[in-house]
Amino acid sequence: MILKMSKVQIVGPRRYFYDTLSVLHNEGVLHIEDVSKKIAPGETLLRKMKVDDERLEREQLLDKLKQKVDAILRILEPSEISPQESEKYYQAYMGMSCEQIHEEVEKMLTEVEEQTKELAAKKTALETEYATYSRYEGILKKIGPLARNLIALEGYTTVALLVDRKYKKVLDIIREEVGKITKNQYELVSTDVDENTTAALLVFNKIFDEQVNAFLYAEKVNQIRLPEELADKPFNEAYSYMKERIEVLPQEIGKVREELREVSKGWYAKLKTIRDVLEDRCEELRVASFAGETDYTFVIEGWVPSKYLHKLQKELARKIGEKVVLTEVPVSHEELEGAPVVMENPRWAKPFEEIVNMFGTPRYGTIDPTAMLALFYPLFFGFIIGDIGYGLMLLLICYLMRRKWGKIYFVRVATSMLSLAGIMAVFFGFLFGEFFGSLPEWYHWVREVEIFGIHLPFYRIREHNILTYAGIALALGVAHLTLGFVLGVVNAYREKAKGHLLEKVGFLLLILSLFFILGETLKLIPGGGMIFLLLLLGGIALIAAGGGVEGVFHIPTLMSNIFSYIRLMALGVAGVILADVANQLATSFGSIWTGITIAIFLHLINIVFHTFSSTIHSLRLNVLEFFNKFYEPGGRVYKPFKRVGR
Amino acid sequence: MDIGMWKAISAALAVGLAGIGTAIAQARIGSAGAGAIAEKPEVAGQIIVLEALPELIVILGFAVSALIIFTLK
Repeated sequence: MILKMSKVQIVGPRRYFYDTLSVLHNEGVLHIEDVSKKIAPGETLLRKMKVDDERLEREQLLDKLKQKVDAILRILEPSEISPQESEKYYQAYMGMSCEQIHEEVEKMLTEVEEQTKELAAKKTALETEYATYSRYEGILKKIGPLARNLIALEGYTTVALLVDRKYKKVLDIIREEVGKITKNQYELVSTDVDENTTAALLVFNKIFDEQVNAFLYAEKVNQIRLPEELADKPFNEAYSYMKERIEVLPQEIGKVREELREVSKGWYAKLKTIRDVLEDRCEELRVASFAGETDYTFVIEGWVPSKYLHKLQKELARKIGEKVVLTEVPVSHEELEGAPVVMENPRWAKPFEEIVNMFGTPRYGTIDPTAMLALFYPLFFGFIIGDIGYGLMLLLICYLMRRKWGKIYFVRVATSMLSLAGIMAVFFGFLFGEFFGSLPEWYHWVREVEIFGIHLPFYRIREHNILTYAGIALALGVAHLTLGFVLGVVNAYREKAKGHLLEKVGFLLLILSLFFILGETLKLIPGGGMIFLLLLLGGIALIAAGGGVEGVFHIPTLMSNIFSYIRLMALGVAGVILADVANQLATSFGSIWTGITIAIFLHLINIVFHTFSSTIHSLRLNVLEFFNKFYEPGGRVYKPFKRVGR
Repeated sequence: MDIGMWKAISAALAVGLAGIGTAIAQARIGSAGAGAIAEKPEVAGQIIVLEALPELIVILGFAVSALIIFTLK
């Protein structure tokens, strides 16, 4: 649901401006508009709020401090902060003047730096060392076997070379030329290290360093240079040293990080809170320029969800007094269309807002499709998977992921969506009598019952049921699309878009006409053919009147949209068949344990692929077929002026 | 050839040819989509849905082949 918004104007004496801003910041519900954009050229009474130089300087100072705190926070190891502790520090720092904060932060930073400087430098040095040696690891592995064949000689230089195997003959040229330079005082060994590369080690007397290097450079031979600190060591020694260090460095880094975490404990919460305070104070000063002013008053404009309007008015009156007035401003239809959008949905539907937002925020005044997506995605998913075993496995996977990575937002959203889908898969599993495929049917685990003339379980891949299953899928599609068109009619009515309204009603008549032609064909509605014709012509006329030629061209897409829902049946059948193939393969092995292992492996693969494809296709039916009938993206995102620290 | 063989061949053709059509379409969308995501990672969601668009062809092919196998007498 999209919340109703009210446009508000806050006017008061200029001396109360920053106090008012602070109250608004604290309440965190007002989406502030830039008043200066509304000031007409030549307007003399109202002008853009001028932030005085002293405040600007203060903002710059706070911003600098924020950057310093950020830099220190990056060095420290994050530690848990209790909300009570954070609130205590926040209130304390928020009450301080700019100068006090400055003093406090500088003092704190000096102390933190003193305690962490050594450890932080050690950590950086170890991490750099690890990164450097890791870069050499791949190359060293290639060169290593060659290096072991060489004898370390005092006064000799070792150079490692990598040559493309296609140009291996270049090694002969190197031999010849280096021989000339060094008067044959050299050794070159080479080996093919993979299908593309040949590695070579060249050892020669140090006195020829300059000439040999100049030659290799001129010939553009790919030379491996060792890290500076190992440059003087023989290659095999350097190789062993680096290998050893790569193994020990992670533990050393871990140890330093642990020590740093211990030191950080006392500081992290304070610095993190101070960072939030600085951010909030900077934001207050930045937003000040969005306001307008006259000689004696200030003006702030913005949008607030109507349900918070009264509370905001009361808070302003309580904290500032009657001198600052908040009034709701009447708005035109066009202005209302530009209102920021706040989506408010029940907890179970909330994760689906992420999917909706991927396709753009819905426009203000139109319908928010989140709740419908939260209803139809699990429904379609369950209809496709329809297996108790698969549904339970999915719920188990969601539970485990939630336990392990529950703090990651993406995991929380994905598991919430998949849990609903899993529940529906279990529900449809009962209807279809499936548990890891058709096992219940094969082993007669369930007894068939008849409820209101319907035989349950409904074995969907039985010959006489498959057409019914396809029919149900198409019927679901027709119902889904009809709902889409009805919502489209509501949207068009709300937006006073007459053309759209006629077009959507026309499509609804076309869908209705399908019932009559079906009734006539099945001999259920005598004379249905005539009604079908009337509805069809009426529908086409309305579509042409509302959507013009383009609208008429869209008529065939209605049929393709309906047939698109047959994927629910196709994917469902494919899933059961694959599950049954897994069971059949498993039973064809002599050993029960081999069979069980094969079955688990194949079912796991089926669950992963089936879950992925069912999710994609269920979302696609919602996003493409359904949303296209009514969804109007392009809404403005609601960005309330609120404190980050709260 | 008996009717069972014809049913199998027809079903295989229905799903096989549709599969080839889908593969060609998905290959093109996939390569264009990968380029688009590299430039603008935020369009990944839309690209995944676009990638699924041509699957309708093979799904309809599969539905037809399932109907051939299960319902044709």
